[in-house]
Formats: sequence, C-alpha cells, structure tokens
Amino acid sequence: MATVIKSIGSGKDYSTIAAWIVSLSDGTYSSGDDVIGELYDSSYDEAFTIGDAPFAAGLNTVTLRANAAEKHDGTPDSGVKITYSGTVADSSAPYIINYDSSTYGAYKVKIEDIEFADFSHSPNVHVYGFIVTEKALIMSRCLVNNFSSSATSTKRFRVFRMGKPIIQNCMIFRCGKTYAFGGISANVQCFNLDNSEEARVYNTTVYNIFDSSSNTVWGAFYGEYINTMIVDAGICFRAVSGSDNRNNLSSDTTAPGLFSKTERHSEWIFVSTTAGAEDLHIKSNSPALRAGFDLGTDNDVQYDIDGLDRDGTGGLWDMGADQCQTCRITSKEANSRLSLGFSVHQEVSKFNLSDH
Amino acid sequence: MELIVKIGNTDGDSNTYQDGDVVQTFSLNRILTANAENICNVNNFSINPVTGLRDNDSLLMKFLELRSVYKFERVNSNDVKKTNLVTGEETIVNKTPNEDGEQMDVYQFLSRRLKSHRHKIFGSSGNEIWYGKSRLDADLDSIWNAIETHTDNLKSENTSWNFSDIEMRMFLVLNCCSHISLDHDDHGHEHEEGHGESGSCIACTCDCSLGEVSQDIVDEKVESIYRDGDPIIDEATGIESDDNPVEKILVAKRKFLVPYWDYSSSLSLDIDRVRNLSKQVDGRKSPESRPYSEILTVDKITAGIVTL
Repeated sequence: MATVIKSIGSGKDYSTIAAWIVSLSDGTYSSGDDVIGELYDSSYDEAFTIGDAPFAAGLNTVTLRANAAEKHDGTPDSGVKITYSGTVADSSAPYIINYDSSTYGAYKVKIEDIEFADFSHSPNVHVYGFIVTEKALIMSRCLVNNFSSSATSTKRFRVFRMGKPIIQNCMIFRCGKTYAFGGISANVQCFNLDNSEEARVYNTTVYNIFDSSSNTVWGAFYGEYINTMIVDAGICFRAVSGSDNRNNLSSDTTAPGLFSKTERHSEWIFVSTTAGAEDLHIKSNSPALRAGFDLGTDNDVQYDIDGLDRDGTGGLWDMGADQCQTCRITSKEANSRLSLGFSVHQEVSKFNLSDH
Repeated sequence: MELIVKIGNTDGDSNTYQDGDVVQTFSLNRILTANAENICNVNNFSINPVTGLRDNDSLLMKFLELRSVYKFERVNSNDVKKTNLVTGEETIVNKTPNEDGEQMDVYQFLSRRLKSHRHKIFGSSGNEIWYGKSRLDADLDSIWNAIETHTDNLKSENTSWNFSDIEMRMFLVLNCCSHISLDHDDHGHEHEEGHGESGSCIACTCDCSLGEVSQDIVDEKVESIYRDGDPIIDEATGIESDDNPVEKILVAKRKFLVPYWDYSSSLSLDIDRVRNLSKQVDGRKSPESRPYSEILTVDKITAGIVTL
C-alpha cells in the first residue's frame, strides 16, 4: 500500500487523462494503493468516467488534481483546465463518477484544484455537467464555468446531477441554457442532488446560473448547504435537505438556516463579475466576510479556493470559496448597507468580531 | 485522426475497456491545438523584471489575442476597456455595474493576478492588458502562422500527438483518415467485404483521395453503448413534462474496436510485440499510407459483437 503519483500531460507519464484512467485497472498499481494523477498542461480536451474498475482492482483512493505549480489562482484560464469540445449521449455528462460506493467504500474519488470549463453542448438532448452516484466524489477547490446547452425548451440541464457528493471551496459560474424560446421552469439547475444531508455543498460560491428562455432556474435543489453563496441563480436555494443548513447567502430571499444572509447583490460581494474576467474572490465590505461557520478539518474543508488554511488565519471563516485576509469592513460602507435593509443586529455583531 | 487502442483484457466486463477497444481519439485540430498550447505555455515566457508584467508583442500575447474572446485594457485607476475580439464591440467596466450587470474592482483584480508568476498580464503599470474566455472556434492557421513567425516550430512538424513511453507500451497507437474513392463507387461497402488483411483501404493500396476525418467521426469512435432504462420522473421537483430523461444502462464501454490482430500484414504489425506490454509499438503511418477509418474500426453492434 503506497501513494503513487503519476504525471499527466505532454511529455509526462501519460499524455491524456483517459490513458491514466485505464492504468488504474490494468495492473500498474498494487492493491491498496492511493493513486494520484497530477495534471500539468494548460488544457485537456477530454471527457472521463471513473467507475468500478479501479476499486475492483483493489485501489484505495483515486485523486485527480493539478500539480501545485500549475493550479489556478481562483480565476479562469490561470491554471490547469479541462474542457470538452465533443458531445455526450442523451441524459449523460462529460464527467461521470459512478463507482459503487456501497460496495467499495465512500468518497474514494477526489478531484482537486482543477478548472472545468467551456463545455458547450449543442445536441438536442438532456445533458448534465457532472453525474455522481451516491457517495463517490469529493470535489475541492475547483472552478466550474461556462457549461451550457443549446438544446430546446423541454431538455434539462444540470451542472451537478444526482448523488451525495461533497463539493467544497469551489466556484461555479456562468452555466445554463442558451435556447431562448419557450421553456419549462427549473429545467436549469446548478445542484440537483439526492435528497440527503450527506450530499454536502460547503463553502462554495455559485454565480450566474441562467436560462436564456427567461424561465426560472434553481441554484440548489436538495443537499446540505453551509457557508455557500448562490447569487443570480433564479431561485437560489429551492430546497435543501436536513436541518443543519446555515451561514448561507443568496441574492434572493431563499438562503436557508441560521445566520444566513439574503438579498445580497453581486456588486457588493465579488471582485469582478465581468464576463471573461470573472473573479469571485470576495472584496472589502462583502457581506460574506467573517460570516461563515467553522466547519473543522474533515476532508480538508478548511483550505479555501487558493489553498489558504482558514484556521491558520486566526480569524472567523468567510462564506463562499474564498477566505479574504486582506479584506476589511469599513464603517462608511457598513452604514450604507444598513440603509439598504441589512439586519442591524447581525451586522453590528460581525463588525465587533472582524479583525480591524 | 490518431487513436489509442486497448491491448489485452478479455474479461467481457461492460465497465472496462476490452481488447481492441478504441480508448481515445485525437483529431488533427485537437493535436494542433494541444501542440500550440504547449509551445505558447505561459511557463515558456519571461516576465519583465522591471515592470513585473509581460512585454507586449510577444508570441504569448499574439496567441492569446487569437485564442480569446475578450481583450481588457486598463485605461485609468478605475476603468477597463473591454473589447469583444469577435464582434469588435467595446464597453467600459468599473466598480459600478454596467447595463449587463458587469462590474470590476480593477485594482483588486490585478493585485491578485500579479501575485502569480504565471500571470498573463501585459503592458505597463496603469496600462495593463489581458485576455479572457477561450474561443471555441479559434483560427488554427493564424495561430500557427504566429508560432512559425516567432519560433522555429513548424505546423507541419506538429501534426502528431506526443504519446508517452508508457502509452506506447500499454496501448496500440494508430492513425487513420478518410478515403474517398476516385471512381465514385460505393467505396465503404465495397471494401467491407474484404475487411482485414485483404482490405485495400487498410493496406492503403487503394486509389483513393485521402483526407482528415470529420469531427463527428472522431467523437463517434469513443462512444459507449447504452441501453435505455426507465424514464427519470423527477417528481420531487414538481416539473411536469412528457420529455423526461431516461436512465442509461452501460452495455459496453466502447462502441468501436480495432481488431488489430487481423491487421498484422496490412498494417505491418508484429502482434506478439503489440501484446508484449514491455515493448513500445507505434503503428502510425505516414499520411499517404493511413488506413480508412471506417474499415480500420468495427462497430460492435453492426458486427453482432454486442446485442442490445
């Protein structure tokens, strides 16, 4: 039993993710190994499925991640990026994690520090970005952006479909349907997960989930949400699972749970919402500052989108994927926000706790 | 098109690649794009030690100009000019949301970018330039013209995928192309009868016009075979629609295989060597000798290997 790291990219151990995935079950590794595939190239045009085969072959865990020197800086096109220019079958997705976790154990696939982008699907089918079955995946510190479907009005589009994944410290933005006519409400959803509190979306930032037909989209449908911000996604939190949801933020009135904040707008929160130059790090006076709940260290949830250890900062956690140590809350801005309808009690409490 | 083919494994498990399965395909456009990206990788370009930015007019800048949808130019402490390189439309973005709801704190945006040694910010302080959003229809000819102008790399020498030593051992690496019969016969049907050793479009002794295969064929060769299960009625969402997705049940990991064991003579393959996973085998042919994609690969459903 060992941790075995293989490099993936031009001139590396494997030139493609697909070839590396085949190696997971071809006898290359020993039973009990923890196998890591590290990506080095600026982009990979691939779809992939991680099913039972690696675990039937005895592997303990499988991790796909960006090499530390090549990881993104929290903005698009800044590090390793996986795209897919091809097409997928009806009711399918380019990225599928569907090993049987009831047989082989939970959360044995990890995806870390990778940007997934530019999946622009034109066939007239139902399509998803990621399909995850049961407790198959922990996704950490990833960017997911510019996933779209131009399928006609009745076809569904989900960024994440099914399962009880753990999605943490990720940023998801500019995903939806581009077909402009007709439509059905809720045909576009960002998270469409199993109705279980074991589907966990923690410290994740979601911005701009759209349906060009102007029908209502949903940001979150089922799963447990803590410290998650969903902004400009129709009904941001349509339904959640369990009773522990808390410290969430939405641009509408739906953020669920204790200490959640509602009706906060993108220009107050993010550094940039400009298409092509998105930067969803939070900025000074963002309502997300110091407003999060300390989630501990399970599954390394304490590391933000940039790899910053929130606990190492000595301060309170921020909401969303970014922990901003240079951001400050100034009284002038705070007063202006108060006049826009913030809760006096909550905000004053946070001011007292901030690290001026 | 280049492709890698699974060697070994005949367990019949629908979840795994079987002997001869097409694992991955590579269109010429994908190959040229990947090779261009490697040449234009940001790690290959230096940062100006005085400004901390990247100099204008480098190959990296030209590559990004050709590969991106948007160009951003900082015009003062608050404002950024955003140009759509496809339409030429210009807008100004700053801290106040514009009519599209776009806003940017350019100081904070650039401050974080410039912390990375891999940043792609050009120009001079106060007049920074950068690019955003990849073009899905980037003009590869223009990109390679820029590369050939700035470097010794030639497009004609970058038309092959850079497979690793491990891949050359664990997979069979092949290439193929389209064959268009010059005598206008029903070309594909004609040669299916002689599929394998006797197929002249495998050995490429035919009198055909050879060309790149279409993207549809490149995509088709890596399709899986599914059987439709039950419709997924998403009752919890309350969505009422007659057009429901259906459960997909995997029947075979790949629809197409290459029966390479039949091609020892026509493709000059030493099958024992191919199956020896300690030996590297590169089965790629020169452009004039590439086999016909539709003869090289076999549709498992059509061939009766898989029944739905």
